[in-house]
Amino acid sequence: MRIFMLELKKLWNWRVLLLILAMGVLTWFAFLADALDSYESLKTHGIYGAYQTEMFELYGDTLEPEELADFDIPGKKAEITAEANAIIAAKPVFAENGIQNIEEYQAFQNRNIRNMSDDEFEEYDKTLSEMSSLLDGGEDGDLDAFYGSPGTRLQCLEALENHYIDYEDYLTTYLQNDQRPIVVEAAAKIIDMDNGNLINYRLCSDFSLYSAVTAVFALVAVILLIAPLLAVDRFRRINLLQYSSSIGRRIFRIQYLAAIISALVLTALIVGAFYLPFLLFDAGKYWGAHIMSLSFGTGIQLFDITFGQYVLTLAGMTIMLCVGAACFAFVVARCSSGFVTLMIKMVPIGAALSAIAVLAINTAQNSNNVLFTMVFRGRLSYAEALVCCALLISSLVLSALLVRHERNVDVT
Amino acid sequence: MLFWFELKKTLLAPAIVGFAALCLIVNAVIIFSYNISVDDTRYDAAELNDIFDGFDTGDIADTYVMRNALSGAEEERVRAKYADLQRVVDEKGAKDESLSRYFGENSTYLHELLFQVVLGAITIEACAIALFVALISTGYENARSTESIIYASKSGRNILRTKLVSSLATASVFFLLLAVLTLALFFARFDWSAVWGENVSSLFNSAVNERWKPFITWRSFTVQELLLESLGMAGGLAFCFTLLGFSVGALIRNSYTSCVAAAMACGLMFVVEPIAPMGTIWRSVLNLTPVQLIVNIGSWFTDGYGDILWANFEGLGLAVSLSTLAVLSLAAMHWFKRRNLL
Repeated sequence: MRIFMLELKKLWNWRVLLLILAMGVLTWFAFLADALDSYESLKTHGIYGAYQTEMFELYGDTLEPEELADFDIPGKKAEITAEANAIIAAKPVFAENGIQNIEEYQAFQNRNIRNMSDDEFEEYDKTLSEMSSLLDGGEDGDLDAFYGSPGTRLQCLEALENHYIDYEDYLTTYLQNDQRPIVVEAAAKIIDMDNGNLINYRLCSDFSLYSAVTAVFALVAVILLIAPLLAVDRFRRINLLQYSSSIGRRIFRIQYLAAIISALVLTALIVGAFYLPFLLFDAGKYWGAHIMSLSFGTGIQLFDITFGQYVLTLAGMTIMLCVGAACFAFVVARCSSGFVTLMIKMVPIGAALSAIAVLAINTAQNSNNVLFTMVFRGRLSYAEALVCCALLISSLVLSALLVRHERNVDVT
Repeated sequence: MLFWFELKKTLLAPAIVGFAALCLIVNAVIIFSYNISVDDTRYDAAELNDIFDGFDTGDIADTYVMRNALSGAEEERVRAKYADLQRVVDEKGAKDESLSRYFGENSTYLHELLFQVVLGAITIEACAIALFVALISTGYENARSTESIIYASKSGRNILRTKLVSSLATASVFFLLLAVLTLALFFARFDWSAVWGENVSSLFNSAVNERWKPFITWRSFTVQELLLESLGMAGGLAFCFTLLGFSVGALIRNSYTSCVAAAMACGLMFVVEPIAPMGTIWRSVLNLTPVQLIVNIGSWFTDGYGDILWANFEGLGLAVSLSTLAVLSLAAMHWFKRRNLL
């Protein structure tokens, strides 16, 4: 036990921990803070405006037919249309161009510009900009003005209608044309559920990308922590002293256990530290909400689990990948003559593990996931988690074999 | 004689040779994973309109200003850059540069494949090898405990100069190997013989990762010229990473610490740039570092993105990086000569 604690002390070097902390802070400010801001912004500035968030607060995570009727999307559209028509009636630029209502304005917007001369196009563009500034919030980049304008609110309600009322045709194309059995099964279930999921349409896709970045950082941190352990001993020729007795030979096994436990603890700390801000900002309110849904643009979330279970799945995948990385780093360190050769070998391994982390964790359990679609052809449930599990098992087996081999290895 | 011994240490290092072989395999996988046809060059003759005729670069500035909510001095700098670009665009319009056919509707995909994906892979791999070579070379004596013998004398300490030259030579060899073999494979798979003389600012081409913007270069380039100049840039960056590895290796005696320091330096250059606000001088300066030059590989010789304020930023960045790192390397060598190694 004493040797185990001493090996842990060697691993948890304050200089390395300080380095990891500094890298973590930089990673936060360079990538994750922006990702969080982007998710925050999309709660009110996405394709559904603030409507989907409002519906979740009114009706919870699922939308029943009577609740949809109560929300009255057609009624809201009619109100906004009236508001837009009032603006059109009041401003001369519309009358000058023969526009009397919102439908005529939309036809004007979609006019064919291919046959226009340069002068005609310039005139048309100027007029459209002026009309747009009145109905669509203008082009000065003020998102609140843009999403508060009648034109944009109407588009958001039309998108909402497509999602909760007119979804069946879109889902039926999956049933008829998609070659992936699991996606077809999920599409059928979502049709049965009336596509009535009210979670934020970007929740799972944004969180999975955020988790993928966290996983890559955790991989780098674990490799930095674990790699020096054996390399330092070999550099200082301490391994020769250790291997000179049978008690000394057990130290290799103790170092292996210390490496795995340290990787586990470090990854858990990193995952906790990075996940908490995302969950505390807003996403935590969806913890108990089911995530199986179709979102236009972000694909089908395939399994009927809660967001909390999804978070824990991604955390588990990150931990599996990081413990696997620790095992690979341990093996490579044993087989390297110096730090530089260790680093040269770890670069492609680290790059491959990072690529697997991004491919598996980003859009995990979604019909758009690359591993699920391109590698497993949509035939394997929870494919991404199984890949991480397979990687962990193979790395544990490889490192366990090495530990066993070291008991009797001849050291010259 | 000493030079050949030092060259042998790095050129024949099993880890480096193995890594280079792995890089070639990865490049082959990248090349064969793409399935874009070069024979199917489709374009409508009626579409051959000179896009630079009457093109207003202020529209590009407007997009960046709105996208990043810029104001004040930051907005003015971005607009000033695109005001300068207007003169270049007018010249392109006068010469009808956009009427080049290139690969028709497949131009953007094939251009990105060569100039961003393949060239990016070659550059990153060559720079990684260059860094490792310099670290191996400078840490060789420490790893084999021969420092006390070799560095005990003045001529022994001067070996560092030979190590620098041999590291640069090794980095060049591996860069040329990677570039020649990878590009040979690429051009065997995708026949570019018909487009060497085409202008890259074709109306069918667009800025890398920004399809809404034409591919506007500060100078006029044919495909061949752009490829050769890009390869020159990539080679220059490999030299930068050799100098970086050499400086770190000479300054820090412990191999592990020098590896981590070199990795940290690269990591810092990558991570700090997005933190600087868009449109500031700082952000532009940070884009001149070797790592950010690699990140911006698809936009070399073009107007770049909104965060790059200067014309020909890639040449400027390479010159600044090379000269800074060369000075650092010379300073590290000078300090090493007087260093106490106990």
